[in-house]
Amino acid sequence: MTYKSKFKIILPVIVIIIIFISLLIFMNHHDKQEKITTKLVYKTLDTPNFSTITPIVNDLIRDQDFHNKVSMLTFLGSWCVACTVELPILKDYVSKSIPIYGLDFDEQSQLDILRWLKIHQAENIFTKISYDNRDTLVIDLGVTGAPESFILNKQGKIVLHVVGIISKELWLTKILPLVNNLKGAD
Amino acid sequence: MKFIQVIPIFKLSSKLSFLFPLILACILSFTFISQSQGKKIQLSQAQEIQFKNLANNLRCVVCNNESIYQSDTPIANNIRELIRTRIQQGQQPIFIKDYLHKRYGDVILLTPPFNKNTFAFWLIIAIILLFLASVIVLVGYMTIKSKNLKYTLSNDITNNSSNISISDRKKLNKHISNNKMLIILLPMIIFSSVVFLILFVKLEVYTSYKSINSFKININKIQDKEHLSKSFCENPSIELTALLMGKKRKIKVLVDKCLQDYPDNTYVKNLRNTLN
Repeated sequence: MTYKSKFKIILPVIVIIIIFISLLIFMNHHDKQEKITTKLVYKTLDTPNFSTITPIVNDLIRDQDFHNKVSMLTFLGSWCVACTVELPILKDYVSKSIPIYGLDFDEQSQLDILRWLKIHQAENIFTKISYDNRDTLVIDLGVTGAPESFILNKQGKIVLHVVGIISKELWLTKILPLVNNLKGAD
Repeated sequence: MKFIQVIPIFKLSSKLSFLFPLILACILSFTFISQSQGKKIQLSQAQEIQFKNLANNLRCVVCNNESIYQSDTPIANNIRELIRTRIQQGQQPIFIKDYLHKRYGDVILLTPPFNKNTFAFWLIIAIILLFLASVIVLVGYMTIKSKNLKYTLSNDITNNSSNISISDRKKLNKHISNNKMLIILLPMIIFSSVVFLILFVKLEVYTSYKSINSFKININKIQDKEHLSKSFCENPSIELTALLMGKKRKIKVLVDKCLQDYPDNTYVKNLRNTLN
């Protein structure tokens, strides 16, 4: 066999091996990616207009609620399983340091969220909950699903956008230091 | 006699009878399409074209690779409504696109822009095209050259039948080295394209979807029962509960097992409630 004819056999084998290895790397990478469930995106948006929503728990959420204090705005739904996962963390950690305002959306009836709160004994976690009728706020804040939460500073501007569940680890390592920082600032 | 004249029509209709269900299905499918795009706000014809152009160029944020115009999800429905109201108010489509782009980022654009997050994606296309072009050019070049070489060689052989001259040897060597070049180049190009593919995967172009679909996690990871009772029942992590999104039946069994071991755990109880 000459050099050339040998290579004719070897070349496709090499190509196939390279493709196979790249696929393996790709799949491993895919697995690693899925472990990260939160994505932090910094945005500086003004608090939007709260005129298209209806109150559910306590009175309507207004612009004035977010002034002169650090607060959190979360998007919920009784249909959202991940929200129930988040609830104990909100109860034990988040609600003890900052007030939480909830926005409910895509519900079949507005009573669903009240039932959901009763089942999980979570009526006292949220200072206010309102219902977004036409997803106007959802689109205005770039929300794709639930749970997604925003941390707002004393001026009422969004500092942090958390996509997905706020875990205990994430809260203690990343968000709580930020909140303490914001509380200290004027 | 008049009655008989009518008969051929019946015959024809019986021959074409298989067409009727087809036509019916076509009509029905059209009605479904028109249903999915709920037209609550009336637009003029020019505005309707504007709306179609814009909605066809935006990606539904929840589903993979479907335009907002086609999608049936509640968010897509609401975005469509928003676009309609804004077009009716007389806003330019560019501004609406900019508004949505600011909120949702590059994910919402069906054709990704060229920036630091997406450069690898565009480069891959360029590399693949270059690779194909280079292969075509090289192969063409080789065939032409080998033909020429054969021609000159045969001419030379007829002139000096016994010996091959030094210049011919040089030509032959060149021919062989050119082939070698091709053999080295091919895997090099393939390898570089694969490297770029991996780079592309690592960049965030792809991961923007994964933040949405990140809840689907392999169930095989928690097959071990001891591991399960510790991680799932005592200290339930996000990963395990996120499994609920995908495989409800399997999770039901797992939760029941947990309840047997830890009947007082309120968290597991809550999970059982949400499953029902």
